[in-house]
Amino acid sequence: MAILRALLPRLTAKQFLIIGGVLAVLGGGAIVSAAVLIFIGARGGTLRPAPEQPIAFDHVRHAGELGIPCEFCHRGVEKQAAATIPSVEQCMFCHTVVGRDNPEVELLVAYWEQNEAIDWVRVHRVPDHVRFVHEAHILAGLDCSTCHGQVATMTVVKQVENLNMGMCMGCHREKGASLDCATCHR
Amino acid sequence: MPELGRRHFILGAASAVGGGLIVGCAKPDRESRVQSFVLAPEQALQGEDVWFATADAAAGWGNSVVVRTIDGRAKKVEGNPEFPINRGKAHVRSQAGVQSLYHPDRLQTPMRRRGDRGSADFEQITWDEALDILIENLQPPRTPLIITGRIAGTKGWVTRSFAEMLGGRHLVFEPMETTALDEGVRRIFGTEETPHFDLANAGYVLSFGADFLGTWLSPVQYSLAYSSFRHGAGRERGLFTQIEPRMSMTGSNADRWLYINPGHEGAVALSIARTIVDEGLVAESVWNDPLGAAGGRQALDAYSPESVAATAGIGADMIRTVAREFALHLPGIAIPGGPALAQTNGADIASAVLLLNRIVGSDGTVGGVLPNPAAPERHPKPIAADPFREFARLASDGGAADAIIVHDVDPVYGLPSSVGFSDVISRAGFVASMTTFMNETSAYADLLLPATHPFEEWGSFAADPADGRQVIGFQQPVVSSWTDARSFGDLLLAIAPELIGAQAFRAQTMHETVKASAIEQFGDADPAKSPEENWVELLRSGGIWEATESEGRFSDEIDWSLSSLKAPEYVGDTGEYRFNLMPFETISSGNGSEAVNPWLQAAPDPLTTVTWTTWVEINPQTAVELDLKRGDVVDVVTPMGSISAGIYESPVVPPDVIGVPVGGGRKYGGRWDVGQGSNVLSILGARLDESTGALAWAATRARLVKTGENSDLPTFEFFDDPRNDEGGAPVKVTDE
Repeated sequence: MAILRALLPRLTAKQFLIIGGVLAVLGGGAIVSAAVLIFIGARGGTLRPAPEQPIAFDHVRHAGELGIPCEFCHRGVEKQAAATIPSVEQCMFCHTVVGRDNPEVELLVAYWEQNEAIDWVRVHRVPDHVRFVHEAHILAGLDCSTCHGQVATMTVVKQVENLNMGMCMGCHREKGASLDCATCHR
Repeated sequence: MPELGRRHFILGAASAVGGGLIVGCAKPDRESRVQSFVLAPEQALQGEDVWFATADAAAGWGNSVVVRTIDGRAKKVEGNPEFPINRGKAHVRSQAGVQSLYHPDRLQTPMRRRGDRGSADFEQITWDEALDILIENLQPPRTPLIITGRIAGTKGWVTRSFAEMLGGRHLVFEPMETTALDEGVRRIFGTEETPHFDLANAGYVLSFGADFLGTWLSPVQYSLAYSSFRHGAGRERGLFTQIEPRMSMTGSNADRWLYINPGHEGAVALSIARTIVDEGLVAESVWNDPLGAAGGRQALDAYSPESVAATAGIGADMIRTVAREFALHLPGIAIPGGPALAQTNGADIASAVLLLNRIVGSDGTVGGVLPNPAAPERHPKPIAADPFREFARLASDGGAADAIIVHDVDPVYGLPSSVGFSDVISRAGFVASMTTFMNETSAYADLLLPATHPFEEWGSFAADPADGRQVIGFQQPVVSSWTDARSFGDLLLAIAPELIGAQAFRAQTMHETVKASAIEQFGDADPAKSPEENWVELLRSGGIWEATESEGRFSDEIDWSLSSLKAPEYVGDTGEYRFNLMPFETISSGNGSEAVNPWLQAAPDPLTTVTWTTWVEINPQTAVELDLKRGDVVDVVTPMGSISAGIYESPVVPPDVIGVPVGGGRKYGGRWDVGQGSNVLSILGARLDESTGALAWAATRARLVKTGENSDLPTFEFFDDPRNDEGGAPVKVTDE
C-alpha cells in the first residue's frame, strides 16, 4: 500500500474533482462520437463518389456493348468468397490483339510487360467483421446488380447501394435466408 | 506570450484527443487498394487456402509434404498424411522451407562475372544472354563436368543423361558422405539398395553411431518407427543401445549409451558376434553360413572381448552384456552410421556391424533388416554421392576441366581446404553455377544462374531408404517463383536441343518430362480412370506406392572377409593433438546446406541448446584442467589448420573428444548466416577409407589453444541463476 501511495500523485479533493470532471467530459465525448459514427455507418456512410482508377476501365464497353458476362472476368464469383479482380494476364488474353490503339490499353500492356500488378482502388467493401461470400449469393440466384447496381451502364463504377446491415437483413428476411449472427459475423 | 489558462488547456487537450480519434479511426489507404495478380495462380481461391502435395528432400529423400497456400503464397508446411514414409510428419527443415522460399537473399536473376574469378563480382544479364553464354561455352569438344548434390528421380535421370550424351561426367557431392554404408550393404547383403531397418518391429536396436532420430538417412521415418519400437500397442518395449564417440541426440534416447574410441566399432561388433557364437546364444544353423562366408569362426578368435576392450575403450564385461541382451531380444538390428563410418576403416566397420544382423538371423525378417526394391529407371533413387577420392583427384592431377556446371552444392566449402578445390574451379575453362543462394563455389563462377526452390519445381523421387516396398513421390510447384529462377532440369532440357540435338529428350520441360514418364509407368494405376486422371491423383496424393512389402530377399553371398578389418588411423599425432575431433551434423542445419535459413539457425541444438553459432563440446573435467569455461573462445587446431569457436562443457562428451557442429563459417549465403561460426570441415585431414575412397571425416585429431577471449554462447538454457546475483531477485522465491 505504501508503494501504491508513493506512486500516486498527491491531490487535493478539488484537484481530484477537476481531473475527474475533465476525464468524464472527454469520455462522454468519445461515446457520443462513436454513436454518431455508428449511426452514419448504419445510414450507409460507406457511399462515396466513384474513385479514380489507375486504368480507366470502361464497364459500359465491356459488360454493356460487348455483353461480356460479369463472371467471365470476375471468375471467383461462383466458387469462392471473393468475386476477384481479373489478373493482368486475363486482360491480355484479349488485349494482346484487340484495342491496341486505345491509350488505356497501352497502360495495361505496360503493366504486363513490366510484370507489375495493378493497384485498383476498391469500390465495394464490407467491414472486416463481416464475411460476405459471393458464391452462396450467386448460387441462390441473386443477380449481381442487386448489390452492385447496373454496372453495365456505368462508365466509371461507383457504389450505389448502402451495403449496410439493414440492407443485408432486409434481403435475408425477404428471401427467408438465415438471420443467425454467425452467418455473416465471425 | 499569454499564459495558458486551465480552460484553454482543457479545450486544447479535448481537441487533440478528438482529432487523434478521428485520424486513428480513418481507413488506411492500403485498405482501399485491391491488387490484381499479373499471372493468376491456377486453382487459387482468393482468401481461401489450397493445399498441394510435393516432395521435400531437406531431410532425406523419403518425405512428401503438403504446403498450405493462400493467394498464391506458401504459408505452412506439414507432412503429407497419406505418404507411407513420413505419414503426416515433417522434419524441422521441411517446416522451415517457407522461409528459404521467401528469403530476401535468394539469387533472383542470371548474372555474369565482372571481376576476377573468386571475387564474387557479378553483373545482371537476361536469361537469353545467359543461355547464349552457356551454349557457347559447352560446345564440343568441350565436355562438361556437372557437380550436384544427391538429386533424385526425373531430375537425376535428366542430369545424368545430359552429361552422358555430351560425353561429360556427373559427380555427386555430399560433405558427410555415406559411401562406406553403401559398400557395407553391398558386401554383406549383396544389394545396391539401402535396406529397410525395420525399427518398428525390432526387439533390440544396437546402433554404432547412427543418429537415426536426428540426421541419419531418413530421420522422420525412423522417428515414427522408433515410437512404435518403444511403446507400440501390443508389444514389449524395445531395448536400445548406442555406441559412439560423441553422444548424439539419438544416443541420448538410448537405454544404454557407451563411449567407444573412434574407429573400433567394427572390432566391438565382431567381439559381440564372437560372444554370441561362443556362448551359443543363437543356434549354429543361423550363424554358420554367414560366418563361414565371411571368413569362418576361427577368424573371430582375434576378437575376444578382452583383447578388443584394451583398444576400444569398452570393458570386456560390457561387450558380453550387450551381446547377451542383443541375442536374447531378437529380432535385433545392428546399424552402422555417422562417425563409425567416417574412419579409415569405415567400410569394414560397416561390414562388421551389418554382418552381426546375419549372424543373429535378422536379415530378411520382420523387425530386422529387409531388402528394398530397385527404383524404376525414370524415377531413380537419389544418386549415391561420389567418394571424396574423385574430388581429391580432380584437385591433385593438376588438369583443368573444360567446363564445370555446379548445381546447389558447395564443394569449395564442404571439402577440406587442404584439398584445394577452389584451384580446380579456378583452372576450369568455364564455370557455371546454378544455385538458390550464393555460396563459396559460385563465387568462382563465370555465369551465375538463379535456381528454383524445391517448392517451385517439378520432379519425382523414389524413397531411399523406403520401408521395404517401392515408394515413388512426386514434386510439383506449389507456388510460382517470385524470382526469375528456373529449375535445373528445365535449364538442361532448354539447352539440350542446341548442344545435343532436337531428339535428345522427348520433352522440353520438366513438367512434360515428369508427366510423360509418370503416365507411361503409372497411367493405368487405377484402370477405371484415364491416364490424365491417374496423373492428377498422383499429384494429389503425393505419389504412388506398393500396398505391401516387396517379396525380395538378400543374396546369400557375402563379399567380405572379416580378417580384412584393420585398425583405424588418424590425421594428427596423438601426443601433439590430444582430442579426437568429431564433426557432427545438426538436426536443423544439417551439413550446412540449410544454414542460410534463420529459423533453422535459431532452432536450438537439442543437447546443448546452442543457436546461431559454432561451438566446441568438451568434457567439463577437461575444461577445468585446461582452465576453460563456457563461452571461452578457443582455436581448434588440426594439422590442416585452425578455426575459432566458443567452449560448451558437456558432461556426455568423453575426456579425449571434442565435438564441433558443421555448417558454420559461411563466406557467402544470406544475411543471417554469413560470418556466423566457423567451418570445421575446412580443417579436416584428407585421409581416406582406402577401400571406398570415402573421406574419413571423423579421423582427424586436434588440440585446443586458448585465445583469452570470451563470447556468450547463445543458448536457450538458463545457466546463470540470477537469484545468486547481488542486488535482489527478479523472481521472488517463497521460502516459508
